[in-house]
Amino acid sequence: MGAPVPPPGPPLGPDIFETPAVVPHGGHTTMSHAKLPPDFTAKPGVHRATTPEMGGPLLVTPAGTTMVATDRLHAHLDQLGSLRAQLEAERRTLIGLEAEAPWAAVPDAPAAARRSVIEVQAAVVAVRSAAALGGRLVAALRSAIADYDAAEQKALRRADRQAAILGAELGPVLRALLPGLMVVGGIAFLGSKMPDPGGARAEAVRKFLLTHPGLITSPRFVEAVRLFASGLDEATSSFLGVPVPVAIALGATGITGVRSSSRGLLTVGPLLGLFRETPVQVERMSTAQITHPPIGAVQRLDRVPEVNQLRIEQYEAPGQPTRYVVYVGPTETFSPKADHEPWDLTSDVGGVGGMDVGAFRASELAMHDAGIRPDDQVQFVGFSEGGLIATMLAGSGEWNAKGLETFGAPAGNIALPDGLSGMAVRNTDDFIPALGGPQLDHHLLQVERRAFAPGTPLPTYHAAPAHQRDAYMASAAAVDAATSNAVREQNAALDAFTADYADQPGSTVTAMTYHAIRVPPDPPAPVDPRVAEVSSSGAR
Amino acid sequence: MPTMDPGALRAALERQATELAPISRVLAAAAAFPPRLSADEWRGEAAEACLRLEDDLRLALAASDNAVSAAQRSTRAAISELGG
Repeated sequence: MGAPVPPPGPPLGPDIFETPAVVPHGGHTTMSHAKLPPDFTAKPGVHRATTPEMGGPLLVTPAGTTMVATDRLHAHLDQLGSLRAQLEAERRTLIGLEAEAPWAAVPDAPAAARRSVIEVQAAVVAVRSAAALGGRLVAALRSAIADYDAAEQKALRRADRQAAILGAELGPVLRALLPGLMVVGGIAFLGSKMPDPGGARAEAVRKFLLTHPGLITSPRFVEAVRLFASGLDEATSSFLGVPVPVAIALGATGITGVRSSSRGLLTVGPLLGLFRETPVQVERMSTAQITHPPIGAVQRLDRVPEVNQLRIEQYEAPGQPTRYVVYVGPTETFSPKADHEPWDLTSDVGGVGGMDVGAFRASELAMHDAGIRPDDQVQFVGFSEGGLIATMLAGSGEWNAKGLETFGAPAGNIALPDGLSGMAVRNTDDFIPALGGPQLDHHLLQVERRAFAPGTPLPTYHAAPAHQRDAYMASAAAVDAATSNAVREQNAALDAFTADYADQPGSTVTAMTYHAIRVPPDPPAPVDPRVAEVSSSGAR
Repeated sequence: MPTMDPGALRAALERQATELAPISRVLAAAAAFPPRLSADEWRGEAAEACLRLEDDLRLALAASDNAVSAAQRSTRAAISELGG
């Protein structure tokens, strides 16, 4: 059989990556717990209604790029690249055999020996052709992904521009309507102060959202949130009197953005008694020796704490510098009024604004208490607000961050250093990460996945099921099952950070948990929220 | 007219057979399980073009496997012709 001649390059038009819709999306039901895999280890009290099978394919954007493709497509590229390299190596060996065959010119050599020379020559040609085809396939696939990505980026930029223009045009309209809005707002404020026995109003809202989870659980809603967050700064600027073209220009140059919108909220909020920062205090709640490091994304996410918001693991091995893993928990309360809980909406909003929020300061206090020095190697893991805080810590430049793994973190606008291992995992039907604005930093592998694929019934245990821990557990399981080098290498690097030490003879692993609280500032003294104290009572 | 010592010729042919064996294993495996893009998750003009290229790759791998197998067979036949 002759080797085929590579045909001319294929036309590379716009393509789509999609999963076929089985039935229209938006149906919802309460899932039977009996359907869940037995190895799910969600925290007590956390509903378990999502399985890896319910979600969509894993979408992977390697660090340093904006090119998104499915994990399977990346794995396919890896396979083709490796096949091509192997074919090149075999071709070189065959060329060597061809050159060394001494019997080609020997008339008394057996005919079969001389025939083998011709067949080796044919093999060289065939293998060269196969290697060339492998190379062309790799180039064609990369080009197709790049074309798709370029079209996607163009569409995103167009939508962003439209949102910015709409936001800027809306500002003056809102200003003109201000008297009316103030009346409506005043009525709403008074309404909120009216007695609500049994929390009936809040319960009605909660029930409505629970019975309509599809309203806020879809990539379309997430895109709307992202555009709203993007356009909010232009709306605010023009509302405050900045001319519309200037408001658009400020947004386009990045002078305003999600960060300035958050800061604006934290400036106005305290006037109404909301989003008021306070000093914080942390207390070590437990210290224990453990034997096993986490292996894989599922086990790391499973170690992210709740209630006691921080867990720090110390890895010591003879003759090696100590390493630490800091696990940061999710939001504990969504009240906009800062009370005792630092893992609150104030830390969420301020964190998106890049401010020195209570949860961030509490994390640093706990890290100091655990004995982490600036040059110690640290890996950060966080879920939701914990992912935001973990990203802030990794990007602060104050710690020797080696790895970062976040799940559902609104942290796209935080700049990260070069050379971090790990990944940011987001569910594309979870709107919380979109509150952090577009993904501006590209130093970390980005992994996305739809928690509930089209046609999958949405559970009704929570208004935002795609943001729940079990939805991210399912995505973490998909990460652990990934076949592309891009994901496997980062997952392995995170594993190795702890396993390399834990596997050594004489190593010890110590796990510490911390509870943080907000403390009221002293009334007479000027308040400096940075002043905080730490109390450590050791193991309990 | 060049001639060759039958012992040296046999040794050279045996070296060739030894070197062809792993190449043949690699090519046989690649030809049996060529990389194949799943048409389920990627559709469109470019995907179809890539699938066509993959068909060509499959043929090229099979041709490579056949050529190396033939060379192996001829080498073994020559060794056996030279006798022990």
